[in-house]
Amino acid sequence: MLVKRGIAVSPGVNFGPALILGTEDFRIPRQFVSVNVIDTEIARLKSAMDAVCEEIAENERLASDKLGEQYGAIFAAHLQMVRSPRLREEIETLIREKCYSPEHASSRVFRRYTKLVQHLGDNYLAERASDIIDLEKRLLKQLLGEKREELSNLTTPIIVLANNLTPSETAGLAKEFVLGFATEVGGRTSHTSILAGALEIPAVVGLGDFLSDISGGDMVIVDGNNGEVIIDPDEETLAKYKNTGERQRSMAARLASRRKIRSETKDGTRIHVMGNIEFPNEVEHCRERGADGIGLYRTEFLYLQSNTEPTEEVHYDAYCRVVQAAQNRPIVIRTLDLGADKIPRGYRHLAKEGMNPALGLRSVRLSLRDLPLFKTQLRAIFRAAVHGDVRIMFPLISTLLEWRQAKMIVGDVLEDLEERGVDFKPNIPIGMMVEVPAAALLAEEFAEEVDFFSIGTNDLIQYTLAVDRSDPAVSSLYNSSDPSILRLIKMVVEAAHKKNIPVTVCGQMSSDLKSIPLLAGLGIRQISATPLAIPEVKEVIRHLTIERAEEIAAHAMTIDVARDVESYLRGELYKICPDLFDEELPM
Amino acid sequence: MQESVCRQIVTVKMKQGLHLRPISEIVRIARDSTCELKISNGDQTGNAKEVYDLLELKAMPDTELVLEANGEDASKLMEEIVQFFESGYKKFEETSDPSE
Repeated sequence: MLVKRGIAVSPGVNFGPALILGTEDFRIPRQFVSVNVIDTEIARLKSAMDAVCEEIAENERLASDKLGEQYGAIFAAHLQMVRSPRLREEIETLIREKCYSPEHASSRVFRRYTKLVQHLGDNYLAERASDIIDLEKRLLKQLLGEKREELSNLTTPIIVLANNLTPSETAGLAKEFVLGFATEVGGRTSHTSILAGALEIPAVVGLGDFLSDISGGDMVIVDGNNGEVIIDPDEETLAKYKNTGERQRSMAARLASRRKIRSETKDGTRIHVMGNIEFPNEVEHCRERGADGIGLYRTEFLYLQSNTEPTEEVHYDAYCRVVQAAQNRPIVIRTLDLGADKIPRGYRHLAKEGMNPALGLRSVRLSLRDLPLFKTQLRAIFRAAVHGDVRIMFPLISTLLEWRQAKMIVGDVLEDLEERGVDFKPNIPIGMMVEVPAAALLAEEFAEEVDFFSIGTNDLIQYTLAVDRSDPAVSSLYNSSDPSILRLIKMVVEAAHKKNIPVTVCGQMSSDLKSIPLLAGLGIRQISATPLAIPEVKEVIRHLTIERAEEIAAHAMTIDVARDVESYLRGELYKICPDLFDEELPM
Repeated sequence: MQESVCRQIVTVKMKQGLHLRPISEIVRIARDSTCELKISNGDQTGNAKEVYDLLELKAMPDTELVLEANGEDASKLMEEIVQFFESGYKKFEETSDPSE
């Protein structure tokens, strides 16, 4: 049993056989074979290896003829590696002594050599390990022959493991069979996190080097609540997790049955609970859980899913799907919130390595610099707005000048659309994310000009406390209960109330149940949470009175240390709705 | 033709250590000869005709390796291998390494 710790990015617990993406193009169906077929299995291994040798020899001839000898030499090296007597012996030994299937045995042996190569020299060499991975793939392909299970055609549930998932790798995946994700690299905004969140399956990222310790078919537990991945668990651990999984499912079912009940406090104050989404199909998840709308539609995925920039039609199609699914509920579309390094063209060169991306050219700053990119997105939003209640939100606004610039571009876009003569809706609410402390401090001035605020707690905390929470060395400083954060939120809410504009809280704090009474007490009447958390957030609201919430907020504001605020809020939550927690208090 | 044993010490000059491409060249040279060739890095000794043995030497840049050839024409094989470690390896180095 091996336990790896990473960053929990999508909650829940699941377990199943491992599928290693990127190195495995298909799943290894069996880990073991029975003793009496060992000789046949070894014969099968031999003929598969011969076939691989032939294949490589053919490639060598082709490459030498067409590209020159130095290219052929690469295949010659591969050939040496497959013909190695030692390799055959090692694989055969595993089959004979451990009754491993030839597929599993080969995968193990190749995996060990891959690791050896990866650890020789520095990072730069990882690329060379792909030579061995390629051989492993070839051999597995031969071994599995017709029986192989393509990733797009899985028939059994699996846990997907990868160094880092890329959109192209997950594109062909039969997602209904994916039980969970675990990756070596990545943070909360990585593709894996986004995808897992959207599919609502547990995921842990940033686990560090672990793929070489595991072979396809090994049993793996992904604990998306605690950020742990357990490889080859012992029986006791597995039993414990089976139990947790069942408890979670029954709780979810109980809450789902109450989804149609309005989200209001015991004393009748309506608090709108909306959903944060990445993909159009998530609108459905929000509706199923009784969301009052989409408070944050992140559009980054449109830019990340292919190597080319999305066209206006790609944007328009996605937005229309969201609008249609939302059935007249409001949708807040956030414009591009990515760093320059993630965009296929344009200002990529400005995102120099070693610079601090969090403080660099990203988000609305990038949009304002790359006007064609920005305008394409805006045009699509105004066009889609014809079909429903669409609102626009600019991320990372830090100065009034930026806000005004963005608004000016909006003016240009509306003129363009007018000229083109297409259908669009010009007067839609336009607001901003408050996630830079500078914007929170100037909230009153901003409130004069914007239609609404949405407080993005994740970045607000990162910038206020100057901490990158994906950096394990400082992540403990990251705390949504920090008194400085509470004060900034209070300032923004007060400014919004003064100018009579709506203010929403999105970001992870709004999915954190203990923060709900506090936010309500500070005057927040709109919350946008991750779809999975919506039923529980509503449940907390229904147990609350505004009077009690205000007392909690007032008391929390007097505490000067984040840790104490946190434990106070946790205690209050438990008092407010004890039935939300089964026998034990999670977290 | 005479039976003989040759020993020699070489230094790994490859920028990335003894890696897949130089290894496969060494294996190719060794397999062309009927001699036995052993390469040692400290306590770890490997057969030069076996790719995976050489990988396991984990020979990083500036490591000193002990070569021991045994058999007919051992000195000829040794000469070839030493030449490879001296300069022959260069054609296997990346010439357009972006990190340089």
